[in-house]
Amino acid sequence: MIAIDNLSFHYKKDMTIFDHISTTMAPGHIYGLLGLNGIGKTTLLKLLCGLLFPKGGSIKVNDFTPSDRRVDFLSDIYFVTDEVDLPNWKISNLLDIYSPLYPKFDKKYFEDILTSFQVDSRENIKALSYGQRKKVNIAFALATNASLLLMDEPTNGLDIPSKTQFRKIIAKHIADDKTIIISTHQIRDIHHLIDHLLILQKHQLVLDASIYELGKRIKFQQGHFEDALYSEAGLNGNLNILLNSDHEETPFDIELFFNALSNNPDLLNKLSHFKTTDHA
Amino acid sequence: MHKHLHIKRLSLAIRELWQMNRLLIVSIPFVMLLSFALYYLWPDSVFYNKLFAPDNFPTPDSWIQTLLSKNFGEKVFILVLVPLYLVLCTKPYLDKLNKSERANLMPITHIERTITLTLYGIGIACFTFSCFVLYDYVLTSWFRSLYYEDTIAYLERQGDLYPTLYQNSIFFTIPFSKVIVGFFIIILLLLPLYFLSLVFFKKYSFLLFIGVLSGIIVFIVFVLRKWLMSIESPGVLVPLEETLPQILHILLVFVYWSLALGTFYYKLKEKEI
Repeated sequence: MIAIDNLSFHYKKDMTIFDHISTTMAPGHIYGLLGLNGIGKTTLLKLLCGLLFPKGGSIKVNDFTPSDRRVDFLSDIYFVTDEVDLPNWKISNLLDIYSPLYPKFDKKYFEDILTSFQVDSRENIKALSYGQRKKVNIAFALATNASLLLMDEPTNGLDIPSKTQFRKIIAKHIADDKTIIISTHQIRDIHHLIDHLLILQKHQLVLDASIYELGKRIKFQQGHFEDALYSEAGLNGNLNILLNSDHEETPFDIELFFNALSNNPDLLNKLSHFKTTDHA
Repeated sequence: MHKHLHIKRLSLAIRELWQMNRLLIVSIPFVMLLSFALYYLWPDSVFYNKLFAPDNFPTPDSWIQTLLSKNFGEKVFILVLVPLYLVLCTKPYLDKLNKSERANLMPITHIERTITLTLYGIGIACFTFSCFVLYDYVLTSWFRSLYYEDTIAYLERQGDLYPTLYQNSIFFTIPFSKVIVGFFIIILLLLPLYFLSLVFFKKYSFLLFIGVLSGIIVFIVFVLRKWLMSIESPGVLVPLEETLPQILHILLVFVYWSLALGTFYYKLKEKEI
C-alpha cells in the first residue's frame, strides 16, 4: 500500500511542483501516471522510491518511509528509468552481481523475459542498442519480483513486436501483492494495461480514478453529438466523450480523455465526484 | 540481512567496483613497468645513450662516470601513478553515487558504500605502491649486478679506498620507510577528503577538490610557518615531532578521518538525485 499524505515538493522555492497532494494506491493494480511535460511525473516516481525527499507531507510505501532508503525497502522496489543506466558488462555479470541483492529475484524468469524480447543473455550490454538495453533493464526489473515497480516511459525505444511482448509480460506479471506505476506519454502502447489513472495538472493530482469507475460514467463514441462533453476531430469523424447515462460499455480511450482534461479542465467539475480514490 | 552492514552486500559492492575497474587494475603492473622503462630509456637519458649512442662512452670509465653523475632519485615521480589510478578507479563510481538513480536505489547501504570505497582506495594504493617497490627493487638489484663492482673498482682507482655511494645513485632503491610510507600516508590522508569532495559538489567536483586541497595546503603551510616562526623567535628550534607527541598525531589523524568519512557518509545518505 502506498499512502501519499499532503505531499508538497519544489526544486526551487518559487517553483512549486506538488502542492499538498494526497492519495493511496493499493497493490494488485497498474497505475497510469499522466501529465504534460515538466508537470512532475518523474519527480513523483522519484519521491516514491526515495531519490527525492518531500518538502512537506509524507509518503509511506508498504509502511516504509522512502527517504530513509532502508535496504529492505530498496530490495523490494525497482525503478525503470527512461534513460538506461546499466553498466557495460556481460548480462551474466549483471545478474551475478546485482540479482543477489533482491531476495525474490527469479533468474529463470529473467531468462524467459529476455528470450521473449529476443535478447541473447550471453551478450555484452555495451554491444546492445538502446532498445535492447532497455529490454534488459525491464527484464531485470520484473525478475526482481519487487512489490513496487516504477516505470518511466518504459516503451520508449522498444520496437513494435517488443511493445506487444511488453504488454503481455506486464499483464502476466501483475499480482495481488504487486503495484506497478507507469508514467508515459505513449499511452497507446499500454492503455489496455492500465486499470487506474492518475493525472497531474497544475501542481495537483487532478484525477485519481479507476478506469472501471470512469467507464461507468463516461463513454466514447464517434460521430456528431450535441451533448458531447468533449469532441476531437479524428480521421473517421469526430471522437466524442459522452456521459454514460445508458451504462453502455465502450473501450476507454485514455488518450482522448487526457486530451479532454488538458484542453478543457472544466470537464473535471462535471466528473468531480471521481476525484475520490476508488480501487475497483 | 542486517540493515546497515552485511558481509554479503559488502562483498557484492566490492565485486561491483572490481567489475567496473578490473581492466584498469590489471593494467597497473604493466603501466608501472612501462613507466620505469620510459624513465630509464627516455631519449637522451644515460641508458638511451648507452643503447643507441654508445659512442658517447668511449671507455668503460666514462660510462661509470656518467652513471654516477646521474640522480636516479627522480624515479620517485613514477609514484604519481598512485593518485592517478586512485582517481581513475574511483571517480566513475563516485560520479554514479552523485548522479545515478540506479546506483542510489541499489539495496546497498551507505555504510557499505563508504567501507567499499575506503577498502578499495587503500587496496589500489597498496597494490600500486607494491608494484613500484617491486620493480624498483628488481631493477636496482639488476643494475647492482651489472655495474656495482665496476663502479667500486673505478672509485678505488680514483683513490677512494672507502667509497660511499650517493643515495640517489642507480644502486639504491627509493627509501621505503621515509619516502614510500610517507607518500602512502599522504594518500591515506587525502583519500577521505577526495571522496567527500566528489559527492559534496554536484558539478566540477574534481576541479573543486583540487581547489579545496590547494586552499588547505596553503592554509596549513601559512599556519605552520607563523607558528614555527613564533616558536623559533627566541632562537630555540623546537622540532615538530617533539612539540606534538605521537599519540596526538594519531588522534588528530583519527579525528580527521572519522570526520571526513562521517561527512561523506551523511552527504551520501542525504543526497537527492
